[in-house]
Amino acid sequence: MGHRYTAVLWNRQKKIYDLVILLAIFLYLLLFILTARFLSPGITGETMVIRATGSLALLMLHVILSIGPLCRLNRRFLPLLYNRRHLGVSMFVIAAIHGVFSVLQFHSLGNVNPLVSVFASNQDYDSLHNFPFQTLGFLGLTIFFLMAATSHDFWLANLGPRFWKTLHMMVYVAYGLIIMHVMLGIVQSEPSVILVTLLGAGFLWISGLHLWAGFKEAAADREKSLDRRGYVLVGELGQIPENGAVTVVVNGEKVAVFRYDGKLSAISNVCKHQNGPLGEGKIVDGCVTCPWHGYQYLPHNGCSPPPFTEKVATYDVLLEEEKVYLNPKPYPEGTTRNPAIIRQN
Amino acid sequence: MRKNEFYIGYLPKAPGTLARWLRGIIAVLLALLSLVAVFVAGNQQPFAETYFEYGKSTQLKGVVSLTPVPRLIVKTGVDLKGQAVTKSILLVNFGKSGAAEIFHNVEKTSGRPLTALEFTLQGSLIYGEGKVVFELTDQHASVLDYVPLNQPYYPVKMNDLGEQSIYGEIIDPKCYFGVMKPGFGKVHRSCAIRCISGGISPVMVTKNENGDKQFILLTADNSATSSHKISKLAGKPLTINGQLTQMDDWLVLHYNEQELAKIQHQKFVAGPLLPHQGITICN
Ligand code: HEM
Ligand code: FES
Repeated sequence: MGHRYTAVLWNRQKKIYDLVILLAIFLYLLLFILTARFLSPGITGETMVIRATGSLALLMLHVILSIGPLCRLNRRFLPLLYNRRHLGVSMFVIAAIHGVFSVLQFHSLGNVNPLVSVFASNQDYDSLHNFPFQTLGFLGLTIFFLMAATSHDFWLANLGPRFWKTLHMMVYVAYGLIIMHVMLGIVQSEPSVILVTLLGAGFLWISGLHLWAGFKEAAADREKSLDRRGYVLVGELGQIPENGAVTVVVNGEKVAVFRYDGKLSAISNVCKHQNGPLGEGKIVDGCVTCPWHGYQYLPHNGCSPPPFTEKVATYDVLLEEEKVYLNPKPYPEGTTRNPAIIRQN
Repeated sequence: MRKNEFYIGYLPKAPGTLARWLRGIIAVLLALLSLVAVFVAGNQQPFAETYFEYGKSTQLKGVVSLTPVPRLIVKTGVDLKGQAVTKSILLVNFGKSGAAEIFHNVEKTSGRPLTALEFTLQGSLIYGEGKVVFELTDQHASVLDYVPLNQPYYPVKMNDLGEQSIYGEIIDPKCYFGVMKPGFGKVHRSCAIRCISGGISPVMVTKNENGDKQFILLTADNSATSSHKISKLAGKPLTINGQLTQMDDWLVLHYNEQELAKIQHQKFVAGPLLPHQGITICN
């Protein structure tokens, strides 16, 4: 188990990232309040808070959902991914203000428990037009809460990567719930072309980006066939950049073949931290460095340098007349394998 | 990103061209965010010109009646025949609850009918669209004083307007006349359900083709059992039948509780609710 979740500190880049998040939140709320004061006089403070935070949280959710596919399409977006969880937690806080204010405003000081009231006041569950839309927001917020509460690496380590990943994929369910929350809520009582257009554009953007990145990846992930010896041809040596890698898919697993110091080594492409693509990383100070959050592994044995303890599977590489081949058989995580040596002529 | 530029978050500085690109991306994001803020905030339906004097307390004097709904009757003048002209200020409790219980208590302790007493009440005013609602913010303590009236109270004129069928939306007057904006329609629906089932008297809002609104108090034989049932119908357009009367500045529709079950199964027209669609009184 890694220790790194205690080692990651509030470094300079994270501080800048957080400052930008705060600035953006502040800017949005300020513009919302000024515009509403000017164009919608008579708005109550509660409605202002509810609408400003609800719309801001949904906007932040769009940004969060865009970062993944954008990074897969263009690596220059990777810095946005580095601290995405702070963005996620900030979004949850804003959404929670919206949810708590709504529950207090519409359900407190009544004759039943406010949380019961969210589900039991409007009971037209069989009607689309009259549907109790607040329940959808409540379920969405619950998912965001679970994600925010387990966002620390401590939970990633303790829940196991598979469960953690599944939990965090629920963000797409939450996104769907929130879209319906708005469509069956405010859009029913104040049908507005602008709101529906914004929602539609957001949905097209998010689904379009995911499809685009998915297609691009599917094309790159086509399995290579084995030759007579049972090896796959990775490509020409010249295609692998110094201190970088190319990836191949064998037996459904992605493998990254790195070139460094006149040597070639292959390790699993999947980072132990959050499944980041190691093959898109670089060799820094002799270590494969993950492009997402900078976890490191030694190329010849797949082990993180001490005191860290993460390990990934290793593979054998063969170099024959400028052609690079990979033996698709993985060695247990952390197994030392001799690199293929690049002869200098 | 140039080939040799690789971003590592925990290093103090991002490589130069990458940092410049990031600043560009952030500027684009902030511009988009500003546009959304202005569009969403500027695209709201106008808010009603109603007011809730939250935190400000006012004292009112008058006679309290619980029929047909808890109200404070105040004399606003006399008509040409010298008869008293009165206005009914709806009384509501703190939070989402009705005021009846407060006055049942007074009736018990004073041993007199309510209309034989003159009350001094303290609370917060809620008003707009020609109607006034009074929140007894301090609940029982909002009844500052009551003294016996020396002469019987001004008679209440009730004008029978016959059997009527009315199309409109059921709202809770506390929110509608000022506490919440919007205090009607889909987004406010579950709150109206809470308020009405908590004992705040339901009111029907109707509108004619000219946009003039009428506010109608809804009453039934047994308001305790009917309030829960009728609360479920709040916040959506519907038609309700009953006996209509005029009572000072209010209309009152007395409906039959058994009929509510039929209304629940009515199909409602989808679309914007009050006050954006022509909602009419059908007579
Ligand atoms: C307990 C959970 C929630 C409750 C009770 C709730 C309740 C409400 C209510 C009553 C409205 C209509 C308010 C009005 O426009 O007057 C609303 C609108 C909205 N909600 Fe929620 N909500 C919840 C969670 C969420 C979450 C998690 C999000 C998004 C991340 C969200 C996003 C929105 C948006 C975008 C609107 C439309 C804002 C507008 O009027 O412009 N809600 N919600
Ligand atoms: S996924 Fe986070 S460092 Fe690799």
